[in-house]
Amino acid sequence: MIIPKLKQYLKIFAVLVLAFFIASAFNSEVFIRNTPVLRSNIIGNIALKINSTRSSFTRSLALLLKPQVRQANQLAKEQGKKAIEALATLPFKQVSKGTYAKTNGTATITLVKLGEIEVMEYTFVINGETVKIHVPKDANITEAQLREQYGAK
Amino acid sequence: MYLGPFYFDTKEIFLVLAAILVALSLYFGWSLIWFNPRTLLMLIVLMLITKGLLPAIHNEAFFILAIVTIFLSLYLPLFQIVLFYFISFALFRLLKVI
Repeated sequence: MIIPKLKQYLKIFAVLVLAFFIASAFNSEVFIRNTPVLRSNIIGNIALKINSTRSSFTRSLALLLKPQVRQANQLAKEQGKKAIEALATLPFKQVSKGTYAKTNGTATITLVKLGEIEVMEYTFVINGETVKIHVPKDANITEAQLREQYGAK
Repeated sequence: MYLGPFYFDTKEIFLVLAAILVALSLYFGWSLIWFNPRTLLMLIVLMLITKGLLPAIHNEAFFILAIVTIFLSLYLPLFQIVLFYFISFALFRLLKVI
């Protein structure tokens, strides 16, 4: 008598947890966030999500189970830190208007000075809040793309 | 309890009462702490519709889902809650919980 009841409760709990994750994934990958409007590239989005989830899962698993991967990861982090520290003395070179960069072959630092860049200002309503978004004038982004990206009305 | 040709069990009467209370709070502008009355009213309407499609033996699963959905409305946007509710319903049906 108790076992079937317990089985039923476990099923209900499992369904609720699964539904929560499916709803979260659908909300961001299938629909434009928090609206019933479907995205234009649903299959591409889902494939991308599956791939990124799988690769991050494999990476986490490898970090957890294989000491040599953990050591390599630690070493790479330290090398990255040293490379960035070595860059501190080098001067910045201008790449384009408002954008500067410096590199020593292994690491790169990019500096964007927003005040120097000519921008287009878009005003959207996102989740009931009015938000202003600045996009560089020469960037090839349309208002419709921005609306889709930010789930704006 | 019979109301005309319709039979209501206790839970259904309480659900209808809750719907009336939430509608009154919206009409008179009473503020509910933490909960958004518009979201609650939308959810209650969905619950009344889906409850109408279920036989009374599935009350338990239905009310667990209802409580979790109402609780989640504190944290998630309405569209995600509605998705969660319908996906849970579909999964309940697929796994023969209801």
